[in-house]
Amino acid sequence: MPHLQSGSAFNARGDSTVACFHCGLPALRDTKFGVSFDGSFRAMCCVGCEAVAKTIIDAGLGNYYRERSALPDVDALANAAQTNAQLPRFDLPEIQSSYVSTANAGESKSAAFYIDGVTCNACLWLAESALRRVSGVTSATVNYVTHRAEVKWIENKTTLASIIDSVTRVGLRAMPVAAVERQVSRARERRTLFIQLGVALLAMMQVMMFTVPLYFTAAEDISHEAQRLMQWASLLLTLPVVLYSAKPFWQGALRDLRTRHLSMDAPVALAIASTFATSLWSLFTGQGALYFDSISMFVFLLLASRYLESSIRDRALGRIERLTNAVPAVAAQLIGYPNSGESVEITSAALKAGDIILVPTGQIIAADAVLLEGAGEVDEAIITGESRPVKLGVGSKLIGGTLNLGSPLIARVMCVGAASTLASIARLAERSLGERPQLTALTDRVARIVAPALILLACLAGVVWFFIDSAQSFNVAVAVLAVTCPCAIALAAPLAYTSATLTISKNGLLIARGHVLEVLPTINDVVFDKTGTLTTGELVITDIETAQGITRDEVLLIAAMLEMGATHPIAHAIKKLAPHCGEMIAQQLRLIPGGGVEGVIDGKTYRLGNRAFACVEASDDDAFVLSRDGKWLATFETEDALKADAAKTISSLQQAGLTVHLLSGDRALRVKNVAQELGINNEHTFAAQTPLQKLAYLEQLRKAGHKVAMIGDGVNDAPVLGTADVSIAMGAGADLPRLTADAVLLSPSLSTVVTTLQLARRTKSVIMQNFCWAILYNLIAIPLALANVINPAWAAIGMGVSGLIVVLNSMRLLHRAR
Amino acid sequence: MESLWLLIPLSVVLAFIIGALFWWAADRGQFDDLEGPGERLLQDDDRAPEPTHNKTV
Repeated sequence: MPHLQSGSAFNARGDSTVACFHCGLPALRDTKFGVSFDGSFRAMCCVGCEAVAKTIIDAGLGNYYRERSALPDVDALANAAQTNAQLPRFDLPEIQSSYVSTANAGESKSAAFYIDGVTCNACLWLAESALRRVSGVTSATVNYVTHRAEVKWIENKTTLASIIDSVTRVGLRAMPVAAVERQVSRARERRTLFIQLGVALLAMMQVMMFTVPLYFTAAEDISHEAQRLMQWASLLLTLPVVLYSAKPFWQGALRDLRTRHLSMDAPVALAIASTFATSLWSLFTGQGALYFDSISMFVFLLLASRYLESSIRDRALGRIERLTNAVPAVAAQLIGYPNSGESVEITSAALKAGDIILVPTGQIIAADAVLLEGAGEVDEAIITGESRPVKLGVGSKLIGGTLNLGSPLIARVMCVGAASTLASIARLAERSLGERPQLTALTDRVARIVAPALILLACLAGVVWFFIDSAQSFNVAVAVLAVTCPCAIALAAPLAYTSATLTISKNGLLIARGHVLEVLPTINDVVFDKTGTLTTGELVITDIETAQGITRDEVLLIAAMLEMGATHPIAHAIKKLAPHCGEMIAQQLRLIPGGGVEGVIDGKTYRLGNRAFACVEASDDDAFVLSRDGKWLATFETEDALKADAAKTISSLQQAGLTVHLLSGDRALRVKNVAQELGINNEHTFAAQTPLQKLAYLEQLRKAGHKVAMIGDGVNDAPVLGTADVSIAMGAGADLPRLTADAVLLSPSLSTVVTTLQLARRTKSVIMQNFCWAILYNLIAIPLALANVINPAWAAIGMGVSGLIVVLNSMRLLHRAR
Repeated sequence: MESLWLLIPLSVVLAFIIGALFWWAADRGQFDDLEGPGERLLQDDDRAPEPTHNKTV
């Protein structure tokens, strides 16, 4: 593990700065912020880092700095230390009831938390140690794999709030997890499966010890009595496997009998039962073959596939659960706003649309809201997978569950509960996991037919062999039963889809419908919308036309002074270009909604806004116009800025053999420019399109036999998206519950579309490999078993290994393709 | 060869004991986190506490 000792490895450029001891950002060498650690002064970049580091070192946890292998997540945490005073109290009774469980006659309390902001294992150790040092906490353990902390404490000695606070103080975040029953029972199920697997493995190894020597030694080398002893020992060891480890198969078979719907559990249970019965018979009569070793191996291999499969599903479900737990339990509501700043704490669940909430620095936003006051940055990584903070201004949408990194924000709640963004994402993700792609539905049906057919075939083989060689008839029947592996067919597709869905969601694309992964590889045309899809929606000034006698810089200076406090996109565009105007600002500034701004500079009234508002003389309809005392002064031509990775995305798609189309409602000239810049063919570029025209175009493409993916903004293009074979909507800022798309791009990076396409193609080839293997295996193995060439022992091993190969092959899709 | 009469029953008994131990351990969650204990061992500070040691965070 590469240990990072700040100040050495992460030395900043230049002599006057050093790397901040805590976060690694540049800090002044002679700064007043810093702590003394290991005998020397360590410089810090800010008061936030200083406070966090001081807490860590004062608590005797300085080892964190010696052992960490990654720097902390600065964006999320630099301000954490300042928020202590504002930390909402988590001790309202309503909160307690949903997060805290009570044991031991009300004395002992416990709760679970997700530890967030973790960059390396030292962070987890830090959180755990911080939790343990809270007086009153009796035990605290952090799971290093799941980042979940389980904390027990004694009531009256400490509170939920001070426990959460202890983690905040060391620069991390603890999010309480609602005690959901489902989660607990799933964990128990998994543990049981794990023990069953372990017992089968242990028995398998020990039974091998007894049987393998018999395979390799001449019969006379081991006395008959010793052989008998080993056979009885094998029986003893196989008993727990049959009675305990194989329980899932017995239960499955019983359920099949009750519902009269044969699944794969029935033939498996039958195979185990019959091989065990023959082995018992042979043992008691002293003649015939024993299959104790193959029974335990059979059970072990099948359980291994099952265990891996359930762990993948758990991971997918865990991600959804994490989302639903991201909203904080309490919020600060401003009751007298805007007249008074008085705030009360209320549970997030009690918030209603229209309520005004205050979000302090470093706090999680409690509900979807519109920003009324304050500006700054928000970390939306939980939704977008993008760790760079998002800049916000008045009027911006805040998403519940995201983290406020900047100054305190005041916002009006838009939607809560089931209508909120997070709940929608969780619901969509859950639905897609539950929905079966056509291929999976098909293989399910195949496996359902195969199970009874298989039992029939085994009986038939037994009957036929009874007439050929009656001694062999039972062996053949069992071998046929054991060797056939329709579970490889049944597992081939769904497991690959689940793995791929999980990987894709980590990249920031939410799959809302089950068919997306199945259809994506067959796509040959991709249709893009322009505004908000290929472009950022932010304006850039492309051209400034000025009146005679005034220069471009003067115009910009005036515009900048007018727009000083504004947050409209044009204001950002002007500020980017304008020469430094310092703090100069126009007087008597007025904002006219639907028009623009008006202000007085040097006694003259200036207006900046649309043509109707500023100056009717101006020629261009869409541009922004600046006027002085009603006289035209300048016209600003603007354009949407292209997304940074738009060109790369388009060219990658084209390289992948896809035809890229551009349909836009925008004016011809701009659309043409964009198309040219991105290398989209002129024939496939259409400007000034109404939604109806877009729809017709898509239908025409599909009629010509093309498979079409549409990528658009989701709300305005909803009907068009519905026509495409696969639709992807832009999730940033959109109204998620109203989206009708098959998938939602939550990440700001457009190239996620390309990685998703690649992964979908890989998924398809993995599924093909799985099918080829499963079919080839069965085609070879069944005739061999029918011909009595392989005995039940080898048959059982063959089936177990074949299932495991499919599982392991599908798991390759869990790795991010970047 | 006579040793087999002792060793084989012994191995069966041992296997059962190991199985029971495994069950007991897994049931108590010993295998739920295979990374944490190792890290804790490395990170828990066994040096002398820093001068301004403060028990209550």
